[in-house]
Amino acid sequence: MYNTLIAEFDSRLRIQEYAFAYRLYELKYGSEAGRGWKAAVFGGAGAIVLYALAKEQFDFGRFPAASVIILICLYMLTYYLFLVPKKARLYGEHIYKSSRLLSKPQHCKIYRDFLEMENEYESIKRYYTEVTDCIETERAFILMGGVEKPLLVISKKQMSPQQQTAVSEHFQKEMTKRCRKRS
Amino acid sequence: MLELSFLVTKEDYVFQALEKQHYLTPKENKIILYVIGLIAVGCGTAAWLHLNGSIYQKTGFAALILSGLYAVCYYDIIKPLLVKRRAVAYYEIHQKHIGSKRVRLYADKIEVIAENRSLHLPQKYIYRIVEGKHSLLVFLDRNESVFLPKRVFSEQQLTEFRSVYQENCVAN
Repeated sequence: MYNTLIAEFDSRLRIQEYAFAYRLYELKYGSEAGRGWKAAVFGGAGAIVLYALAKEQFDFGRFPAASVIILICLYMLTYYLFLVPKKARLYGEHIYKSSRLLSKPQHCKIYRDFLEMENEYESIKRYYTEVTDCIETERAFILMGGVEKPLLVISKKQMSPQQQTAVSEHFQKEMTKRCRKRS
Repeated sequence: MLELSFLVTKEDYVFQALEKQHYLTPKENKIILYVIGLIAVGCGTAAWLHLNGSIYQKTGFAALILSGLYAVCYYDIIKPLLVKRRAVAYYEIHQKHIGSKRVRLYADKIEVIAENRSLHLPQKYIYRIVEGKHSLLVFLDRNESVFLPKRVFSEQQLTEFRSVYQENCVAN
């Protein structure tokens, strides 16, 4: 049958769920995307300079520029590996706090080909073909992709275990290679 | 009530992406990176001119100067280029979904109807409206915005818009 209703439930997004989802989104699609290779470039550059300095018996006094470069590379490596994820999560929390719509109770309908999310002021329809990534965590389903509002988070809190299983199986089936579970 | 209906063009999309990026980048970040860049360029150049070092040292000074230049140019040249390239690629991939928008502006709320989304936002729920050179960005929170290209407004409509939403409006 055309566009069968798979599940229908109410949901209310919490700050931790949104912040976590935003962190994942930002690291993959946001301005901080590609931090892995950026960290590798700085790590590699730092290692090369360190190797060159080692050949000169670590004479930091004679090579001040090399010392500065090593410090910069070390800082950038730490920044991309540890500070960026933390920053993204904090920014997600700020976004949630600044929004009056994200905390509103939502009504979700999961259909065969698309999902609909509605609250008092906003309604969104997202076809699964628009979704580039679907991540299922213990607390929520995170859907990334699409033109309008590219990050959708469906909290599991108010879903029954049967609904969670049905939605999870449906997403796995409809977005086979784009859907994954994350603990 | 003011009703606007428009098709989002590639130029509209790119301009709003650039203006949004400009608005979202904190001024302190720009200043800090600019100062760090200038210091790196200064130190690198001074060392290059005054110290007669080995090839390793010269390479180090050159790298310091280049990184400094990168930092100085980052927010004014490099970042806008990256944002533009990304916006163009995104528009070309999602062109058929971006499509048209219908916007109704009331004295107390904004209605935006796009292909797969409708928004009926009371004025008090608007986080901020940012006016750029080419577009008006209606922010729903610190990050998410709906944009209205200025080209679809007449001069009179724009003045009316500014007066109705003056408490939400800031210049970019």
